Amino acid sequence: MKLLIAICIAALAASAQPRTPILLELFTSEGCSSCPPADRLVESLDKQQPFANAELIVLGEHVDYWDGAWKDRFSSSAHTRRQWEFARHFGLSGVYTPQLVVDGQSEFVGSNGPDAKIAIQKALASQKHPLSLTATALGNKLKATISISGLGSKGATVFLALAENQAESKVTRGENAGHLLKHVAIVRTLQSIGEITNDFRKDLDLNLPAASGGLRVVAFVQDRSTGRILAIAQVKL
Amino acid sequence: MRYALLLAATTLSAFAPNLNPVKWTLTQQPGKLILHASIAERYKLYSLTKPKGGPIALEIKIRETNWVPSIRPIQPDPAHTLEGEVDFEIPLKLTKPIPAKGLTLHLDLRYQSCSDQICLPPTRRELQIELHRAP
Repeated sequence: MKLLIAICIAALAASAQPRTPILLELFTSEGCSSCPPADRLVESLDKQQPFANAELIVLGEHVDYWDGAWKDRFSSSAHTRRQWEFARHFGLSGVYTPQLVVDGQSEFVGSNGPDAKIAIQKALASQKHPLSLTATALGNKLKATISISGLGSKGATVFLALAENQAESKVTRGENAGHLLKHVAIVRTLQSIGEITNDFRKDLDLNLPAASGGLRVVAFVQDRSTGRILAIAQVKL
Repeated sequence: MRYALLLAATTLSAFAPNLNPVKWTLTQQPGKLILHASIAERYKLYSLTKPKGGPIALEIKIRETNWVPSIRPIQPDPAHTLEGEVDFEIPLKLTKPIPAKGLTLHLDLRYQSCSDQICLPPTRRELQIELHRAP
């Protein structure tokens, strides 16, 4: 009995441990034959949350440069531009899919589980600044408030993403033809909502995109010169 | 310890994506150009014969159509994807003799390649070659 109580206390202590939020951005496409394994890895990280001291916050950003034979309905040129910005931060000569970027400080092939583990452990070593996010859906409207104080970092941008929790597509053309592709946290909108000053607060009233798979709201602060994520929070609607 | 470090480095490099996996060279032989593609290990190039849909097929175009109205590159293997070292033969029929100062031809390539782990977006390359009169 004493042993059971001790185990319960240890479990409670573990669950009460603060979890560091870490942003995982998957650059992917339904037209890319190498991407489904990366989608599966990210889905598993999102659902299983395998790191006790990390809250993994996932965003699937579908790029548009594979929209030849098969138009990925989630693709956006804004995601492609964001991936190129990361390429510049990482000193890469180009972009590729699937690519996973962790906290804006590590990048690797998006299906590579061992590299994901290393990158997440590296991200855990850096402290995140607290970011307060509240979000409520009212019909097709979203009311959200984001506040950050004392970050004191100049040259950082605050972003807000609305992501669909999950979706499936039956691909009929291209190299993934005949496959049913599953995605999680698919970014439907990603916008810059302001620059960091000493105390940042913003109240937003936004239209919600149609999303049958449910939505999540992700707010994060990114250092413009290094690409690193300084603060992040998520609310599932 | 050194062995362990080497192994770790080898493992990491095996996963590092090569973002320029196809190297091209253009040379001249009597009556033709040879376009050589050197495709990195584990990568494939979508070839001239690849049907429409999905990644784009290799495109080879010549800019100086007043000197060479059209080209028909010959692919050594009809496969839709190519690996390793590949020579494309481009028979050359000039509309007029090469001038005394020589002639520069430009080829514009557009292609796509993938490895077993990643895919790269459509890529463009420009190649050029100087042709001179036979002595």
